[in-house]
Amino acid sequence: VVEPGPTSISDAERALEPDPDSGVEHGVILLAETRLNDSYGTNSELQTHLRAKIFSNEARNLANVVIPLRSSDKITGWWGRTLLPDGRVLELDETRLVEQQLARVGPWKVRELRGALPGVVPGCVIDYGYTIKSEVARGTRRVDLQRDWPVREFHYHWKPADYLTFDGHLYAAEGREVEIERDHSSVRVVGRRLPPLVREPMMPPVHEVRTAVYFYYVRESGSPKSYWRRHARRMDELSRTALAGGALDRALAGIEIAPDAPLERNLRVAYDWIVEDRYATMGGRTGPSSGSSVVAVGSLERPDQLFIQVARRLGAEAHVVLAADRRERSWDEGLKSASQFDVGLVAVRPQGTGDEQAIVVDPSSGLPFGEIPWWVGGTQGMLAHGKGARKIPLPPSEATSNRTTTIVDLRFSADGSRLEAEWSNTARGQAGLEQAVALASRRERLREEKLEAVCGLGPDTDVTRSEHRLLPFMVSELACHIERLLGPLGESTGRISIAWTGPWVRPVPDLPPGARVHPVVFDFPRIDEVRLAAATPPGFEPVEPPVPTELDSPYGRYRLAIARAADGLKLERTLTLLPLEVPPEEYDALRAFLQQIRRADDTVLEFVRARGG
Amino acid sequence: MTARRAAWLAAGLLAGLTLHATGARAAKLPDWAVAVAETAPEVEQPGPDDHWRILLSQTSVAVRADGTLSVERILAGQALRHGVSSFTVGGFHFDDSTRIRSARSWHLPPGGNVRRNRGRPIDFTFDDSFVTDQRTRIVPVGRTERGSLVFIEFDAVEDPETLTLVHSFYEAAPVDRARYRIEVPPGWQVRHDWPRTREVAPEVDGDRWVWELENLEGPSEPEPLGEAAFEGAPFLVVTVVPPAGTRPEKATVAPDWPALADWFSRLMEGRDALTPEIEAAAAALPRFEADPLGEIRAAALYVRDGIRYVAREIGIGSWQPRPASQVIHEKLGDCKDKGILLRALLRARGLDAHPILIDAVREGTVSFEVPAQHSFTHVVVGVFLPPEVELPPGFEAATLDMDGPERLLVIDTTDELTSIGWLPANLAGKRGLLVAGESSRLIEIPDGDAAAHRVERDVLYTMSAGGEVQVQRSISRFGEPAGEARARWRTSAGDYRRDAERGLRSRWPDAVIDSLDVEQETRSGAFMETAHCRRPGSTTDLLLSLFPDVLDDLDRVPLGDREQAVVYPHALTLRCSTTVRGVPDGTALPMAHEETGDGWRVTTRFSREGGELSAAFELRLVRRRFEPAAFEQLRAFWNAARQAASVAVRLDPPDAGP
Repeated sequence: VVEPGPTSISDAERALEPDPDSGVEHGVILLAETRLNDSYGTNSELQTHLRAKIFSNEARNLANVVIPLRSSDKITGWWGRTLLPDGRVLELDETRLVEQQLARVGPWKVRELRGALPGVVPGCVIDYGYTIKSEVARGTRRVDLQRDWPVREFHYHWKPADYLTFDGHLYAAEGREVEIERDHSSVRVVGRRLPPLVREPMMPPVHEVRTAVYFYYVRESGSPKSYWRRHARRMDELSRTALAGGALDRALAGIEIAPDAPLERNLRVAYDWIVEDRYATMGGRTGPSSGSSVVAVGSLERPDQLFIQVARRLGAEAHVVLAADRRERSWDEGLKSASQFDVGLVAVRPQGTGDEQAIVVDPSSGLPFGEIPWWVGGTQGMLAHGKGARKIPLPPSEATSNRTTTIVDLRFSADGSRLEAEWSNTARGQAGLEQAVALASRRERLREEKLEAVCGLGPDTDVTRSEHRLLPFMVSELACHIERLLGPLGESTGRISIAWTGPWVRPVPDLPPGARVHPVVFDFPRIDEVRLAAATPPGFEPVEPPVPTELDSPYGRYRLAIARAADGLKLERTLTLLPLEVPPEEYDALRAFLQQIRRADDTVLEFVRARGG
Repeated sequence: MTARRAAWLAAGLLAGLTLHATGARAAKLPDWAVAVAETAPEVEQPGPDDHWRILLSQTSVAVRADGTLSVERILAGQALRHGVSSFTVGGFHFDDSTRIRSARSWHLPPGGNVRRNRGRPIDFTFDDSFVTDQRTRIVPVGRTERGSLVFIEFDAVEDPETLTLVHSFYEAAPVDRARYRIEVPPGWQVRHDWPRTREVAPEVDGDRWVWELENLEGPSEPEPLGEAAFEGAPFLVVTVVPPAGTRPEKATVAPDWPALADWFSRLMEGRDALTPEIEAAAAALPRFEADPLGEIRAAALYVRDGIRYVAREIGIGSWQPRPASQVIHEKLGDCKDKGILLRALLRARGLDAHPILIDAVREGTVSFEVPAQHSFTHVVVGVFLPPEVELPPGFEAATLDMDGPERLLVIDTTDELTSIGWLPANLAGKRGLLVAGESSRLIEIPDGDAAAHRVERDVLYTMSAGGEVQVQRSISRFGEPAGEARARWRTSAGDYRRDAERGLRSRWPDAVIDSLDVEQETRSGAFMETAHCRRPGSTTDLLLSLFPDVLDDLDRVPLGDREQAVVYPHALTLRCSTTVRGVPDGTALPMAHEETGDGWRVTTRFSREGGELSAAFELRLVRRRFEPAAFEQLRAFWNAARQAASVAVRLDPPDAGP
């Protein structure tokens, strides 16, 4: 039973102090408990209770109570009080809760009851709770156990509707003091000493690492395995549905199939035809604009479906593969919900071979054969076939497939007041996809603004030319001309030092020192090459360049070489970054490698006044 | 009141909604709409972000003898694209003092028949107050086509507190023609003013006054260091005055500012009573013998930090302060509640403080001549300073000279980030209404000079024999820069510290950071950060920046194709004073430099005494606005600042030969 907490601050509560280093800075939730009873026919009762200690003014908003209500909801119980450090107790009476309407259409309302607990000062404890009666909601409910505040104790008890099949599933609970108990009529979750969510640069998605519980009803009873089997069968049936407009016949007529050639050759030709056909149809705009391309539940992108059917005609085994966008989440088999998937892919292999022989492709992404978008690479997908579902690893692409080659030509204006850079790059594979997504927008103006920003537009930098084009198979080409204000070179200027880095170099991640909680997540393995030529400013000559820098580590390789050229200095830099995910225990080593790269990138190009210059 | 009413103007947030009108059927347009439809222009090629064009926006107010208002708003819009949402235009703002009698809309697709929407109107609350009765009603018109005409009509009755009105000629799209009409009972006067833009004369026909404007600009894409489009929109203020001896039953008449101040005085009457609870709280404040400023600061800090800001804006509660005794008991309140508590506490300590009504968000809403209640959205406090008080440097920006020797110190008790005695930029240069009995008057807050918002850096480099460089850096931020730093610190001291350390490592990649300390509010009002770090010895020569990161506090933006003016929120001073100890003989001393322009100056100075080199940098920016025509001047300023800030000395490694 959910009931009010004690009306005095216990000694243990009084002894609690802030500890910013462990994330306990402004306040702590002492107890968060909820009891949701959906077993009153079509009605439901929610009882909730929160007790928290306030350490600083920044946590006082915890005492601004907001109770969301739907049109038909009724609040049938309330208490709210502030326990002051001096022992006094200030109550907020239910009559002082105010209904705040957020939206209303006739009798349908989105509203909240709001009340501000009085007298809140650092050191106090707040304690409030309420009961709401409403209609049963049948959707999946995700309840976060881990919050931005530390939670010392968490209880949730869900009693579902008697007549429906239900389940409860813990998420990201490894290493946490969390227990879930299910019986035939309810689910109970208890958590203790839950730390606040730590946010770190390049961490996995918050949704993925935050400890949570899902409560949901399922249409069909059975194990997760049987659920996925049924879903896989549905997807397989969908993949066999005839395409409208004679698309399959048109494709088969257009694809140059060589009957005697190996299967993989014909699959590649078929794949390329579909991608190029789509590219031509869409006028060069192809590939996912910002990320996820497919809704997995009940639909399949046309190029994927077409490729499956063509591949089968060619004698291959071809199946739908569903994958989750790892920027959002990973596929959790224990959670019986197909809405976890974001992307549809295709696995092809010769008949009679195993999944390990399969090549996973994604014609709708526009990537080359054998490549899949980086946001599903490195995860596990669900392969859907006629008999059921199988897990299939979706390997990340190789660094060599994701290469960006950048050419930069740096030149001073005659009076030395401007530095001009003519630069271009060609990005392939995932790097091309990344650049294409970064520059994509339905709005032309926004597209132009993004392009200028990528080219280097800034307070001191004008962009005088910016062009981008996307070729088939996600080859992205960028060309820019920029001018940077320097101010005139005076007679007294004897030495010029210029940083060679600029918008043409991807920033190397700057990871802070100290303990790391989450793994470091990279987008995809990649190779970035820069070839730069810097012309000597008039009246100057280049300084002898430093010796080349070469770094080698399990995380990649780096090489920087600067040399004299006929008209100045030339620089070559190659950075290969290999990892997809680096565990916290390797954080220091990774950070040291990146730090060394950053330091090497700080090397400047230098010129001194020429004798007689 | 709350400073957050700008949310009213956020109707654009609804752009994504696609609710459809229901029950549409062939219908007849009202006469006003027929006239607009007959003269509607062809749809031109829209700009990349244009969705709507407003052909007519008209608000008509009929003032009744009892002081209530009959309000009619009509709007005709033309869709410039297929499928644009009608939710973005034509909302009607109201609160509990308003009864909407009808809300209707029609849709005339190109070449089609008129359809009257018979679906239900939708009310939204945009205001972010904790509780509020402010709402916006929208009448959907269904899916539009390119060239569709939509007509929206509201009819309502309002019970205003005062017979003063304001009207912003601003819609969420460009407007061809906008009208504001007032009709008053016979013999009543109408006085008006345009505090923001040039005068537009009304057409007066008997008791009806009509202002008409054409070709008004719509919203523009917000840009960094830009200003919101609505800030430049024409703003009309009106007061309605009945004949002498006539007193409307339901609204207060305010023919001049003292009368409006009197209305507010009556609202707060008795609410600043010195109850035992107030007396006890005042007695518990720290004592500052013969130091009135210390007393003021102590009381203001108590109210600013000890009373949590919770805006509860319902009915007269939007204007009337809660009793100070209630505020101190609940330890919560909004601007007027906190203001009345500060007044009561200071009164208990023998000091004289009064509310000042002001607008914390919008510019140019207050007319000298024509009072208007809704020219204001916020309450701050003016404290009369005893003559003997000597103000510390920097407090001038928050102090007004009054009659004779009297001075008024302005304190915003809701601004937890600005130190007492300093003035936040959003209040600088604003007009406010001091509500102080006989002394009530319109006042003008100082505009704030460059010293009111400044960042001072002190850097000490000490070179050791082994080549190690010890760096001691302190940064004192005052005014707005202090508030910004305080906000980051209070959100998370840990994150602030990590960001600051990242900045140090970015400047000196090998640096070992020994300490980083923060004092978030010194007695002089500064936010002070002190860091000690060491850079290990190097075998290569060392380029030592003399003014490291000094321009971090100067915002700059790309000017490329920018069409909006660059507007700095406040004047600014940046200073850096650097000492380098252990400079080898022969190290070249940089040349002193000074560059000035219209509203800015950048100077550097260098000197050397033995092995100690001293360098000073100062940037003063007093000009806040740069129109596109002045961008070359702005570039010149930025360039001068960048060059001055980039001065470095080159030091040879310790074992390098001569």
